[in-house]
Amino acid sequence: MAFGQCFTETNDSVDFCQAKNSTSDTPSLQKETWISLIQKKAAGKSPEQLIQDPEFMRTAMAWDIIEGAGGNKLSQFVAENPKYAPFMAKFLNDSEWMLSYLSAGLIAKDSVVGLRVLGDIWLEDGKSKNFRTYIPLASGIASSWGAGNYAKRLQDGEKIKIANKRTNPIWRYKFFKSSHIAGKLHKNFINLKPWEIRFVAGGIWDDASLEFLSKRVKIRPTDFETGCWLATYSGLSEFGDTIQGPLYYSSNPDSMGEAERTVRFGGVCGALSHVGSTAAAANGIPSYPVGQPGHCAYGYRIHRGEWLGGFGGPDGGPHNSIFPGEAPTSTRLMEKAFADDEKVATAYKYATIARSLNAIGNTAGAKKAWEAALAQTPHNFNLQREFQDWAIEKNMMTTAEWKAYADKILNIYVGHGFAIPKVLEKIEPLFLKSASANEKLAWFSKIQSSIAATKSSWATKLIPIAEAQFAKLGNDPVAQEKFLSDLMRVHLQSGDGANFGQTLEWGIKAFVEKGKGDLFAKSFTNAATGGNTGAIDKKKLKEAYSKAILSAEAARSIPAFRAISEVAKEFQDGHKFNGKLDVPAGKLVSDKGMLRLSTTSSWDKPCDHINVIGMGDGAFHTSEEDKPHAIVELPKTVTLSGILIVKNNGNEDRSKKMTVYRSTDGATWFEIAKTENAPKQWKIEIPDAAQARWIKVEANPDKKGLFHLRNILVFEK
Amino acid sequence: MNKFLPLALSACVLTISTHAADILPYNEAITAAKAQNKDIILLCIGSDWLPTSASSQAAFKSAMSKLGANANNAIWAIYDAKDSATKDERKVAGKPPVDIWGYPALFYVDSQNRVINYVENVTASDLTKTSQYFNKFNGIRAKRDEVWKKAQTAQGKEKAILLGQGLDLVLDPMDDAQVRRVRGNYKSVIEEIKKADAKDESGYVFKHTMWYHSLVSTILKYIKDKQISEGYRYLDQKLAIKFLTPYQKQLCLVGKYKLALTEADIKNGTVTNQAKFKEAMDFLAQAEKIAPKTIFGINCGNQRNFYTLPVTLDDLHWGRADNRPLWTPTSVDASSVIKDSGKYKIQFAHTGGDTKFRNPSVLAGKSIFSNATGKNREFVLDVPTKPTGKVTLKFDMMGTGWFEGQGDIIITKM
Repeated sequence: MAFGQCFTETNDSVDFCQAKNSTSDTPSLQKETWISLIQKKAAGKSPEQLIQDPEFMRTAMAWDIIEGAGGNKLSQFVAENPKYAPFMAKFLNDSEWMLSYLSAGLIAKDSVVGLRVLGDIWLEDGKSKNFRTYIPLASGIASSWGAGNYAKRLQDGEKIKIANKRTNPIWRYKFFKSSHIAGKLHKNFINLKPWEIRFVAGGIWDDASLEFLSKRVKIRPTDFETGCWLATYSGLSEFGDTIQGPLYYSSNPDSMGEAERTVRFGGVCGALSHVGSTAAAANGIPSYPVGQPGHCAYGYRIHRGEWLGGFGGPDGGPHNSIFPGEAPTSTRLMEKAFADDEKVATAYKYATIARSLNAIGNTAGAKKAWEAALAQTPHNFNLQREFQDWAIEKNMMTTAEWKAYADKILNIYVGHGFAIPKVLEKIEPLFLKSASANEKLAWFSKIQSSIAATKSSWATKLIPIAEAQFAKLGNDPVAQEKFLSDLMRVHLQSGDGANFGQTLEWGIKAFVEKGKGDLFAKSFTNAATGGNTGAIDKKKLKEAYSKAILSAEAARSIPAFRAISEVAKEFQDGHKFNGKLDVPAGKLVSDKGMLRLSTTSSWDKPCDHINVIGMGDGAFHTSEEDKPHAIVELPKTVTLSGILIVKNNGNEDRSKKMTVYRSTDGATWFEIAKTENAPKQWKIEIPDAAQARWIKVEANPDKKGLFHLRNILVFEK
Repeated sequence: MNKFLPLALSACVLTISTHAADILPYNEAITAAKAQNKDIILLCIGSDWLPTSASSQAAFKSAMSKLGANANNAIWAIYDAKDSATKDERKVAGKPPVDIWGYPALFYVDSQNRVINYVENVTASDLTKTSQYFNKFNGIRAKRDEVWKKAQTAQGKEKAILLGQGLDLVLDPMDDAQVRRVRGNYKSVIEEIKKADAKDESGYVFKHTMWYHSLVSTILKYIKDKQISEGYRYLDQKLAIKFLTPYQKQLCLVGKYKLALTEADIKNGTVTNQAKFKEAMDFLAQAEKIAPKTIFGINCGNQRNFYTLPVTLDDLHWGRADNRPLWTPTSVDASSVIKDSGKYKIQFAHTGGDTKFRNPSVLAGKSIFSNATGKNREFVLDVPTKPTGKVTLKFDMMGTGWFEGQGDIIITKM
């Protein structure tokens, strides 16, 4: 269908008739034509009226799409590729479809890629009876191909000559559509919106992998947690080549897709986490691989808002995301922003109105429209940042107004504290440049309080935020001291301790290592005692040190764990041992590491944790749980020679059955030894040069149980 | 149709009663099988997430009915991996004898809950043939037990052989991945073999405990310890075990390839000991010959080609597997860019990695022009006469580092 025909088929397409290129029958994609149409339709109307006007909305969305694709770039693309003209005519006349594309979370800017992909899908399937059912799928694929972390690689994948390495958007559309029709996808798939489709059809592994895993993996949806184990964890090929080197796949360079190759030949965490993630996607379940320090894992999601972890996920640096930042910060914000379909649609409509009104010079109207958009989905990071860029460019706000805007964001982002610095990245300098030190401290304190009220995890990043705020204080020692004190005060009691652990790690780096240990100690004592200037309450201080040590463990910070344990020595009270330790051969290495428990309890003695791994009178004590465990993190990967586990005094039966594991990535565990009846000293000799950086000792109570030990000593060759 | 009928059918399925037998939930079937010393025919489904569950159940039930009273020779069971089941419900339901990756799955399990066979992603049509499946694996289990019965009165190596032969009946028909999953079920039997034959004179300890990773690690240790001869001896001893599977034999030969390749001593892309290199490639050829159509057989061929065949590029671009550990003769059609006589600049423009190049020349028809000057990634080559026919650019190429070198060959007339 040529563009000129479109308005003959519908009664309400006069605008498109007017927008028609005067010299040909192809769609006019010229910016000026559309702007004059918008001017005509918007005249004298408020954003609230415009959003109710379907004719205006259709025109505005069509213009928004054309302009977003680079304006004349699209015109040129269609002129050079006339097969897309009928698609453009159809698409730009279809408000529902345009909105589905515009609200996909991320779309190509200044590029025709997204529209080219949509066009290809329409040319392939547009005439099918159920095409409209799969519009979200088409829009989601176009969005993934056009923008986001994987966009470039997905586009490049279209051109790969080897069939099994290719990524093709039309293939993916057909694959998911036919899989859905055949009942092969999770029942929630059909309700996924385009922004969610990114996590199903926008994965980086080749199409052959989706097909392979779809045929191979049909498991209980909640079992995708272990989907990665379809492949074998192996660092050596059958030909004796290591996966750390270039020849691992040399015998099978191209004849299989990534998934089949990994399942057939094995791999380590990177490949296995992609197997788990792609297997979930192949079954219509959103997922993403995620990078962690020294490890790769994945997240998957059966129900909206509930990302579950596979292989130690879902937290870390997601490979595929709509908002920037680490998971869980970015994923929680995304789920919040996109939770309500109706509000999301309204927000994106208002954003289109804002852009359109701005294009015709109605700045005041545009501002109102932006405010209306952000009122619908204030957590939408990308819309907030777009508004900010626009308002800064137009010089729309005074310093006081920006401060008020920032305060508003602070209130709105309750529960999403870690995202605040990023969303205000451009705004903060506008009102901080003239602020006094005290004003800056007060502002930073508000952000930190919001962070403290946010659910944290080991993957949430407080240190870069603290570093950036600290830098903004300049070389003012009084302000620096106040900042540290406040940071400690705010985070001492927050969350699972990971924030406080990071605070300690940063404080040690920024103060102790720079010769300001006294100041650090003073801030810590102040935070612990609530700033009481009288005699130090030893009980409170011990509690604070205990909390600090657990926090350092939660933050996985060896420097903080060791530094705080060192100053907390006076509170040590571990289990005595009469006799000689039966140590295995080798050099003790755990005494430079850190201990971490599955849970703590009121019987736990965190100040003694350091002695658990260092030959002293140690003690730890978990809560009652299914598989209580303690993990020793070593400072580096070592070749093990042996392990000595020493029970504590009393209730020794609780540690009767134990299993010891080793790991080189902190997530993949290999059994070293198991006992059904551990003696007081359980010496484990390890003759086969096994490597490890983490040692896990797990109690195996037949039912829920407590776990406690005096020592876990690890020796290297 | 009665709108409640599907619901009613689904509710009844676990307690359906035929004149022949009942279908039990899996956890009850385990107890019943032990008590009655019967095998289990197990269907695994996911009634609240897997659409084919209902049709699978129906086919399974129908197959059971067809067997009539013979169905009583086994316990018929269903494991329903419900997604909505609570943690406690999952605990009560138990776990299938091995991890399932493709529901629905059909198992033949002995009275001790050990897998005799399993098939994943079974269709309803497959399940209508469950009675044949039942007969086949009932037979295999019976044979296995016969051999194991003899083992009970045997000692030492002879006992190990009989126990191993029983395991062969179950495990040999499975692929490597299945074997590794099912072996866990037979841990006690393997321990018994080890106990009876501590020195593994029978070879069955090796056969039923080996995994490629452990074999390769052993060989790499010989290499690391510079005990190449001992490595060969170890592998020859294993290759003398007659009942290894073809895959296991291939792995042993590939171990010898690794030893020989080490002796071939590749330095800077060049083989130091050609005789050993040839030997290494011969070991790959022998391994391929054992089972040339299996994936591993094909890959043995691929591995040999990777070290021995020249590379022909599809176009003026190199990447991925074009990078080889040895200096490798490489050619690419350059007819579209070398059309006239004159001097040409040949640039190997990297977009990643660090591939090495040397000795570029041009083959035009029957003429070879090998007067290139330059080094590393940039050369100048004179084509003195206008080429006729196909023009091929030839050069030697070698991968380095991670072998991820890639880039474009840019040929410009000067």
